[in-house]
Amino acid sequence: MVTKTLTCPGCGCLCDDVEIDLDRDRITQTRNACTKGSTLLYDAQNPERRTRPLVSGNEVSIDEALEAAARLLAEAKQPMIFGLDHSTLETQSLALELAKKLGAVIDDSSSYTFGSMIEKIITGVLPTCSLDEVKDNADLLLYWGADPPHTHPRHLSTFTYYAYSDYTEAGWFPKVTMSCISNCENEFTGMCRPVFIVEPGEDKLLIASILSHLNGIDSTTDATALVEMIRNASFCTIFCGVDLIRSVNNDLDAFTEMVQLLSQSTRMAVIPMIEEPNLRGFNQLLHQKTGSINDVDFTDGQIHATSLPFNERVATQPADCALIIGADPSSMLPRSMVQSLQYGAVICLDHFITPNSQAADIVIPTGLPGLESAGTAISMDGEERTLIKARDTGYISESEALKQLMEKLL
Amino acid sequence: MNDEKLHLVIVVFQDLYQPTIMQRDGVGESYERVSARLWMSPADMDRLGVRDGDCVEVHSEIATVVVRTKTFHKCKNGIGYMPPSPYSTSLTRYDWITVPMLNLRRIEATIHKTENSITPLLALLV
Repeated sequence: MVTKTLTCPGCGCLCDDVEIDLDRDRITQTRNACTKGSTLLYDAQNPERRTRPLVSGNEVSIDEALEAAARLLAEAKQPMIFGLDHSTLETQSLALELAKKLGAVIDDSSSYTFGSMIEKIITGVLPTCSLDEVKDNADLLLYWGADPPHTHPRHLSTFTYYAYSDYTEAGWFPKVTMSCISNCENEFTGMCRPVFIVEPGEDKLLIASILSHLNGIDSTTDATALVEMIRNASFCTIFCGVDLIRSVNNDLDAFTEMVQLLSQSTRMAVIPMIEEPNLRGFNQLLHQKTGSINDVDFTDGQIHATSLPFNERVATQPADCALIIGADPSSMLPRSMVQSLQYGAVICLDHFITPNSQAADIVIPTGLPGLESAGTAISMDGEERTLIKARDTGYISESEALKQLMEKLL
Repeated sequence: MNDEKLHLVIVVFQDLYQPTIMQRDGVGESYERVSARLWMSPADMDRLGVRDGDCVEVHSEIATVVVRTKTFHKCKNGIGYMPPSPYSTSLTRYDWITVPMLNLRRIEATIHKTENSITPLLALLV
């Protein structure tokens, strides 16, 4: 029996204190992992959930699957690489190289989630901080459009509210105010005080009302109470959920102005509640290498930051070959978009069987990053974490699969 | 049969257990059971004449799906909640000119009780 400590690849928290007991490469026990993390780790050893190398539904060797994939990619005139939010930074770098080589478009799911917010954070337009800085320092935690018990089950206990070491005199509550803005009452709103309820999709009205108040114009009671709460704090961290991004229809200008105005009286920080383990890594890498956060077109080997958002590109200029790495757009995108994404040939690199792998023309099984392959990833707060290879299962890593694909393309 | 029709704004919300079930069992019966679900207020359930587990047809401007109902006691009247899955995403139309983001926050739909069974998941997958 061997015990290993690993960084959990279950969500954007990337908890680095998860322990697993291994008996001949089989997990027998996990410690510190949440439901999401432990399900992922245990599931990796369920052969019924794992992908097998397939070409047109027929089982082949991994080498044959890679050969067939290389042929399809070489023949493609308008290829696309999509996914990579569960991949290591090393895999993402290789995917970028492959995109350049193929003249492909490359993007990830942040195009329709946190892309714009991450761009504002990494370019310094929105203030941010690490989760380590939040704990014991921020005196106001404001969750906006987020429901951490369901999306990031250890977030409160490991990084924020319940991780605080200083408690009130009675010893019941941490010495920090936890508030939220939500569109319904739920388990999480029951933990927060005060709670601000907004109608679904109307967060922009609340932001407009806050801006009015900040500019000295009469506003709603909620907006006034929110501003006063933030002004009375010395360090407020806003944890933004994807519901906020969707609600404001990805237009973060008013939100940014609000945070900047509030920063004049209170230290403000914004942290996106990213669910994918390395979505932020993909955005940071792409920005560093190309200057764009999403949707880069490498036609002719040159970088073209496209003016088309991913959603529009998929709908209007579908790829004739899509290489989808560790992503399952079928579960999250409207049917019409999935149809456009799967308009041409689909090559799927994935660890698990998903609707996307079931619809793919070629399936290449890979090891689960953080358990079966090593590398690095960037957590929701921008911290780099090391992912280890804790079990040796014989699955090739995504990086190795991409390297072999590139060699076969030569 | 209650002929009452109800207009609802459907919100797609994250639920811990539904993706965990998909992770554990794949896209099978368990996933179908937890995904084909509409959470509604007790008052809206009464208006439609449905109880937990009854089937309702959900019509949006582009699709119709049959899902089971579930009471959400703190839910406001006129609002329904569905987890992210082909059942909810098939109801929303993506219009990149007017709505740059996918509309998963305000899906306008009409609901009524039905004797039909829930829509098979395979019929919704591409």
